[in-house]
Amino acid sequence: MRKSVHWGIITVMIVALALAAAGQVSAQAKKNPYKDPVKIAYLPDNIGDTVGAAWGVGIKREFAYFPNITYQVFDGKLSAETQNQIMTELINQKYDCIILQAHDAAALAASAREAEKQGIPVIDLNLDAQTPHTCLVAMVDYEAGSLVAQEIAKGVGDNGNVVIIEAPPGASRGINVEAGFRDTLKAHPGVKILAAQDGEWLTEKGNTVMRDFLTKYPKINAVFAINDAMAEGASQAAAAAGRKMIIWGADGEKKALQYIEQGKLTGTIYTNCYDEGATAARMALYAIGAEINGSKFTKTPIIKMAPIVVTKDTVASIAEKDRW
Amino acid sequence: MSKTMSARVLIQKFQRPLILLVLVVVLTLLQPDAFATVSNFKSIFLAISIYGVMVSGSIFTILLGGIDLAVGAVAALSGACTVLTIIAFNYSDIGVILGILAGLLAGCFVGLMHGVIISKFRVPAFLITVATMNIVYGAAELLTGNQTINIISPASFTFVGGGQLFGIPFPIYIVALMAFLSFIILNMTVFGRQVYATGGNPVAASLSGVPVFRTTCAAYIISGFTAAAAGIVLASMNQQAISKAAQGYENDVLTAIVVGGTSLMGGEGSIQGAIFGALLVGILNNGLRLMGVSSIYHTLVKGIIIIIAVSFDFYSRNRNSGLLRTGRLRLWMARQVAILMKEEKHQP
Amino acid sequence: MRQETIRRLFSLLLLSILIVAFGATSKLFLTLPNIFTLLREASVTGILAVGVTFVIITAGIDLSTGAIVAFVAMVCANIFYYTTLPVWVALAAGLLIGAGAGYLNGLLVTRLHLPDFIATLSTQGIFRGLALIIAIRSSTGSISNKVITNQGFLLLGDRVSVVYLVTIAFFVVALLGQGILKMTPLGTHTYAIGSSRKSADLSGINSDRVKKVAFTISGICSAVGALFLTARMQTAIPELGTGLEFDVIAAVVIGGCAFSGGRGDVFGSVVGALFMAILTNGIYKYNLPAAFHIIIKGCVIIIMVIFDSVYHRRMDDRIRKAGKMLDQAAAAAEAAGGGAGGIS
Repeated sequence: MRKSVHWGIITVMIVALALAAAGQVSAQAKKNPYKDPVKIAYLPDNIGDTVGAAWGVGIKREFAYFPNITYQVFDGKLSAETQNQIMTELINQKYDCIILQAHDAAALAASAREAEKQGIPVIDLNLDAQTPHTCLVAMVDYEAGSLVAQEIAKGVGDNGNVVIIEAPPGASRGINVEAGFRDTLKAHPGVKILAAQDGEWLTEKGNTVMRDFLTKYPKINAVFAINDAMAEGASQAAAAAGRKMIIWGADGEKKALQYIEQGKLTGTIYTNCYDEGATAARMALYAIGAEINGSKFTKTPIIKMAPIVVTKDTVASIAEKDRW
Repeated sequence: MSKTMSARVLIQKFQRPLILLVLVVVLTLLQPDAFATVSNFKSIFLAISIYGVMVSGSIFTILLGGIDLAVGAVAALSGACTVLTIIAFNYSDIGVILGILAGLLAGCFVGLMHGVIISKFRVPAFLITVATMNIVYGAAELLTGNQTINIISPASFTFVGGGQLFGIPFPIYIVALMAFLSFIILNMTVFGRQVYATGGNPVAASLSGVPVFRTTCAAYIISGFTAAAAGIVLASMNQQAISKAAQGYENDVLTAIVVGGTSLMGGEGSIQGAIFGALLVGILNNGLRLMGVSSIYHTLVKGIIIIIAVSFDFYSRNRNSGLLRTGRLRLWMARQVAILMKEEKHQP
Repeated sequence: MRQETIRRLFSLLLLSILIVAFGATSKLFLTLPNIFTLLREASVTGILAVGVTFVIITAGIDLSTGAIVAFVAMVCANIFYYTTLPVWVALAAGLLIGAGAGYLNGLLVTRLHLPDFIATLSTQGIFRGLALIIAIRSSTGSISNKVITNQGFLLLGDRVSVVYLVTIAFFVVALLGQGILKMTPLGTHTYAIGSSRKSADLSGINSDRVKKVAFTISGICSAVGALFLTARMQTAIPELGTGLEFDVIAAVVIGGCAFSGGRGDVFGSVVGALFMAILTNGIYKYNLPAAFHIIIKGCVIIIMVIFDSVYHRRMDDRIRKAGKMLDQAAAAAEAAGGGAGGIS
């Protein structure tokens, strides 16, 4: 008897909630993004990551001028599930645009598609969701990997062993950078790739992975880490083991530039992330006002950011205000 | 007859070092060039150093019958505290000393909270420390503003995690020191005795006059202290403080302690066992890597090792009841309780 | 069982307070899409919570639920990527694997006499490892998760008008679970083992069998949750369900079960799962910095656990006192009766 009363109570509560709510579905009319109140969300993979934070600064600076823009930052916590939950939340709250850094290309595809279907343009930064949508703003990836491969081949004199510290699986940037790296190295048969392992984008894991490599391989001439954080970890591990080698990262964060100046890192591919964030922000405002429908695209249009190859010789050319 | 008996007793007594020895020999034979080198052993010890420090403190909470799953979070928080303090004092050496103190204090404070809540309200330590894990990670996020805080200098700080003393990486000294201190406290102080007693039988312990509340608080404070120390070493090693540091370390800590023969019910186990557990997992992981087994198998292997280690310990323990030191202690405690009960009955 | 009723009503009261608080202070909360999103979020945790309820009532614990979810999801992804087998094959395979995984947990606990915590901790590692091993890989050997395009399977992530299928499944599973727990001998035995293992054994209950069944149920529930989660995400990733086991256990404990066993039921766990989902969902409405989400979640769990412990201890004290009073009353009555009459 009591049991059914309790089930009854909870069913009544849910029905009451449903009745109490006024369901409304409104069509998204094209707004004027510079006048009408708009809500824009920024959902990076990991808000504590230096790259993600730099983009956030760039976006914020861009939006600061327009008082009608409500800008909200979320944390993907390095989890596809969390990002999906937040995406659903953003779609329900009827945000006008989402700037997304997808943790995993396949896992975020459904959410991105749903957002576009609801008329919410999705602008991706570096890590793309595997579905055609409004825009992707990316650092050069394939080309970056290719540039590093050439630099490493030059540095080891076309003869040596290389290890790769990879991006987490499913990260579109990681896949492309590594592809560029491997493809270019095919033209340098004397340079052998000994191993590749996931460093989770983190310095801590890059350090651990590098330590494993140092244990396993007595002779490593060069390391390529897909992002600077992991490259710094690799550099710390190598220094702790007292082994010298060529270490390359990619991104161009301030700490990496400092490491290059101190000789702890050999080089990196620098992109101005403030600029990149600002570009995404501008694309967001453009997409809100333009009569385009991302859900009808068959391919995501890409904006690529031009890189600077940074080594000890060129690091001085990067101004303090451009160091993020 | 007596000769075989003493051989079995010997094997029982030195069971753990023997297992390690066998493992080392096997791996040396399989990978003669790579495994049995000084640099490889250094690498193994370095790999277990961070969670080894955590183990030295967390074992107190497990011996008590509790658990501390917030160690990773405390490490992240203390790393943040330390780094921020050093920056506030302009990267000076004074700043380093104050920073380390600040970090350790943060860890002790969290431990105190644990001890008070778990002891006062008698709530399951498992769930409480999982909840505080969330809170402490959140606090770390607030403290760091969810930014990566880099710390490349001063050298006195970066030495802690990245420096070498006589060719051995400094973190190894830290874990050795912590384990040694743990050993002394557990085996040679009254407090250590009290920890075992409370874990083995809390009712009997409090009847015998053991200050259970204070012992519990102290155990959790120690666990927080070592977690904080580990966090400081980690921050120094990676030359940064981030809010997501040390994620998943509680798993390694638990694995090491469990494989080392410590019972999760409390009252049984030793720091030597825990360090053995850490070394076993570390050596196995290292060996697998050297043999080219991809790292994706490591989680699988760890799970199987736990099963083997704990069942093996269970069966061997069953065959030789009462020979363990802590077993003797429990027998003594039970006898005390029986005496006390008899006295109660005689009272009118 | 009056104290159980009070406890249950208290959880419902808390739930209502939360709903009213969020509804009153944020106009985004009580909207139809939000409510059904909320229910959808609660559903997967809820389905897993039903299974874990059985285990916790037997005074056990199951830490492997998240890893089983990942493994079952990976198996489905592999089936859809490499074969053209019909959907029901994938569903059946998933359920069988979930049941098998749960049964393995049961075996480890009953045959090898491993404590629940350790057994499920190790199977967590084993299944997470297996999920990684069978992940779909590209030609260079790195993991490359593929989008599932099998429309039949993806229907699981869909809705029936406004209600998500997973929510319907949640309530079906919950009703089934509650039915088994309260209306079958198996359920009674489950409570018996949790309350006092020794008494249960002495009464002739096959405790080992009940334990194994409890874990198998938990495994099946994990598999069901995995199927819906995969259908919603339209892919499977090896890290799926990381940390999910803690959310599930928190929901079960908040709903009234105790780690000491013998207490609580599926209904409580349903309320617990809804409570956690409402909390998480509601916090998002205020645009607080991300740090506050987990801090609030942690604080709420601690408060609930402390309340639970204090409440039950007070109830136990009251029962003990009542028992003592009964004893004294009986002794007094016997003294009076024995004085007046003879032996009876």
